Amino acid sequence: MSKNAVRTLAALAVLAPIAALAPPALADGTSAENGGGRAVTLHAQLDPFKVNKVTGHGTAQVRLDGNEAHVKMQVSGLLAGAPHAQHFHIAAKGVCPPDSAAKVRNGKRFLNTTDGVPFYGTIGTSLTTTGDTSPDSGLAVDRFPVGPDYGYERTIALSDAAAQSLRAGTGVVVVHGIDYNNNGKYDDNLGPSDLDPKLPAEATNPALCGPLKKSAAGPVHGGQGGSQLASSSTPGTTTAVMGTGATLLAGAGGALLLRRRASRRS
Amino acid sequence: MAATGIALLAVAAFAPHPTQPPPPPAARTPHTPATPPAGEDLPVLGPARPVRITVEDIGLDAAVDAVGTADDGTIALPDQGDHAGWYTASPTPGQRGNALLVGHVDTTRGPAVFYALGALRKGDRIAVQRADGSTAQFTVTTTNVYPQKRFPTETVYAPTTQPRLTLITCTDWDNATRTYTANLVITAHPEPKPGKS
Repeated sequence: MSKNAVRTLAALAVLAPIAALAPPALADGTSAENGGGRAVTLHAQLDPFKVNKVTGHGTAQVRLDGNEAHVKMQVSGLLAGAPHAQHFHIAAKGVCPPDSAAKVRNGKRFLNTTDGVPFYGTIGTSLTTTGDTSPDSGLAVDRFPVGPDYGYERTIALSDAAAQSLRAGTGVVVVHGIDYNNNGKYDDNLGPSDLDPKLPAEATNPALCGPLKKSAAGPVHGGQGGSQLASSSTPGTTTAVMGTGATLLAGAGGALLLRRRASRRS
Repeated sequence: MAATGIALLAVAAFAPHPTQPPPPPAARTPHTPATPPAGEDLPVLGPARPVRITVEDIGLDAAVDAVGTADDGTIALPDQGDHAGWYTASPTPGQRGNALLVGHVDTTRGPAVFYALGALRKGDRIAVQRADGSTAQFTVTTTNVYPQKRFPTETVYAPTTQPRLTLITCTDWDNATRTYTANLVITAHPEPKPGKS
């Protein structure tokens, strides 16, 4: 996309704050956590929409403390030299649409942003590089990262609705901007964008998507001590566990036996 | 003495390689960066549930169950000590991303499925058989021991852009508290050229 086109898109974006009309989120049974919830870590694996001829991929990590979100993303394989709008979509099913949600338009089968809304919801946060992060900036393409590959890291104050949705497990990361006809730029081969008819659909159609899932907490509790012979068979007689690698061998006799067995085997 | 020996051997019979206490000294290199091979596009498989994990080098051959999240937010463990557990909130092994497999090092009765995990070394091969009949092949890239009190969840559980297999079990028995105080974390990646040996 040329610089002029980018500027035009940016200007148009101001006139098209569609996502600002998103209904307020109502998280099931978690309204008490509104805003001041515990810190959580969320992860998303960003997969491509094959139906949109995308082959890229990425990851997203979000540390959410209150309404403050520290966002880290790695994205690769998207259209080069083009801005990629990216958002937290919120307050719907919290999933990515299947390819079957795509529709045939202009003789071509593809998924536009609206097709996915029943699954991932409307924009809750615009993951811009600078400035405003509200849904108003949903199409502010002069403030989104540029492909093909990029890292993104920013700390953002989320709206109550967005924070609540992420906590409720209905937050979804969506990265937009595809090259359906593989000609190296956003063009009109799919017709106008469903978000703004003055933009090409390729510039706003979803490329990558990943539901934000709560990361597992803490370490794994994968042992109950049954192989610790000294402690289970001769409690009180052990002096000290010898540190590295010696945990099993606290009983000297046992150690000898095991070592003998080891040498016989090897 | 003879009785003790028999008892020991009986316990040992439960373990694939009972002569390798977990983890050996060489595995103790805490906080070695667990980064995947940089810039390589590794082979990627589609989604398919793991059903079995085998590691010939340490005699590991075990069924893999699906496990979810425990009440305290940690990864739940399989009910059976001799089964490994695939965390269902992670990608399936071989898919792009960080597939998490957990297992007991021991149960109250003796060594369990991941007892010999500490004997794994960089370069060892891990095979995960999947429900679609395919096998995801991995090569060990890192072995780390992390204290449970300072467990780096954001590193170990992080999503990855390349396929990664992460195996986790307990280690570092504390005889005073009668608990394990650390986790052994093994990471493995597909070989860049599958089939080449």
